[in-house]
Amino acid sequence: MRNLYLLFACFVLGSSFSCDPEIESNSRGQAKGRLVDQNGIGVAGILVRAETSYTRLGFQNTDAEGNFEFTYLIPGWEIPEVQLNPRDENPDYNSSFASIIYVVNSSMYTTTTSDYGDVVLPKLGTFELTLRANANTQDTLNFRVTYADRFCERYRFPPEDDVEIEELCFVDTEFSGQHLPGDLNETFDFVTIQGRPVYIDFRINSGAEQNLVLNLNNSTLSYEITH
Amino acid sequence: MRLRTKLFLILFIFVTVYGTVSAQDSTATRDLSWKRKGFIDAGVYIANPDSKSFVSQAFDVKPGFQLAFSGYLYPRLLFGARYTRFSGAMTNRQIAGDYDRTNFTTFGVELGYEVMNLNRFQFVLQAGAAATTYRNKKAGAQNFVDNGGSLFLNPQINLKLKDWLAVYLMPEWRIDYLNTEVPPELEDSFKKINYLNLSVGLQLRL
Repeated sequence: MRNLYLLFACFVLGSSFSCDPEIESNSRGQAKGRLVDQNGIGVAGILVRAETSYTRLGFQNTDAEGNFEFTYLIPGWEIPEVQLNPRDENPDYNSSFASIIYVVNSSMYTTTTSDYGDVVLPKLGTFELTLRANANTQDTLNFRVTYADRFCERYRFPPEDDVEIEELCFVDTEFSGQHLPGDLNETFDFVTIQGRPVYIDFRINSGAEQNLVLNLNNSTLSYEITH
Repeated sequence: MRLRTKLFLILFIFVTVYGTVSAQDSTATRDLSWKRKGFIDAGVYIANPDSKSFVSQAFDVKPGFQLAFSGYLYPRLLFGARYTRFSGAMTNRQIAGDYDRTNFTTFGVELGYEVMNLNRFQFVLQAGAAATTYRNKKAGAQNFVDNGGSLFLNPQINLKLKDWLAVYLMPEWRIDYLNTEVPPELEDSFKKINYLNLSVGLQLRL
């Protein structure tokens, strides 16, 4: 909301008021940590950056052991966030791994070291579900797929507050649909977290619901339902 | 220690010792033609920050310039003001933060003592204090500063070319004390920065 007020002030006051983002004078902070995969092995070459909506404050690519440590500028009035393996404006984006955003970093307004410790950056995989209708079938397929979303947004407060709330991080999401007799073959593919199960619940006509649990342990997994 | 720092240190010691020893030579004839109201110096300023500072680690430092004015308070005692400026292009944003370049300026006062004044040479021991500003520029953001104070010791040798003109050589030991608030891990590189600088230029004799 504060950003909106300032943007409004910029608009009203025009050129007499600088709308460029402010950086706090005489201030620096430091971010450090280590990115690891689900097996605890460091992930190299991943971009970690601190930024606001309008300007980047600091960044570094992780070293061979997955460590990062960089100095960042303190923003004047914008809300900073730390992004791990961001997808936007990142030539080094690694599509094999998830992205994590720390959206509330109250420690980033102070000249402290924000130590993120070991952060697990899960590997991503692609799941393909194909629906195929046999010729001359009169069966209708109803299905629902539940899987872990690759989106992860965390709130982070200074360690001394002893509060770390994790929200909207790799939460289960689902989609459902119906495949009618005579429909063309359909394939749904989606990106999810490796090592997390994919649940497929389906029913043909008014028969009993069948429940499948599939584990995505590699970069791709395909499954086909024929009716 | 880097080669450039060694050279600056050797030059600093040489100028100081040579000037002081020469001044103790009782047979030297004092050149009263140096007796003027004061001097204006203008010259190139080559900054050489110590290797552990963020200036050394994060910037490609370019030569700058200095302007100085000094006048005689007493027969051998000079008082004046000095302005220095140099710039640096950011080369390591992980060390200093994500910005592009900095103009490093100092403006302060100094006291000088004319140790030697003979033939065409004049040697002055100088020291002073200054306000220091590192004006930082980042594309798409407002400028911001790191500021603080400086202490400097800068012996100077002047070689007379004309009655009104000399060239000078001035090594300088300077310490910047910045007000920048940083985490404890960064204090060594941000809070106190040592320089061994060099300035060469022309001096107008007033």
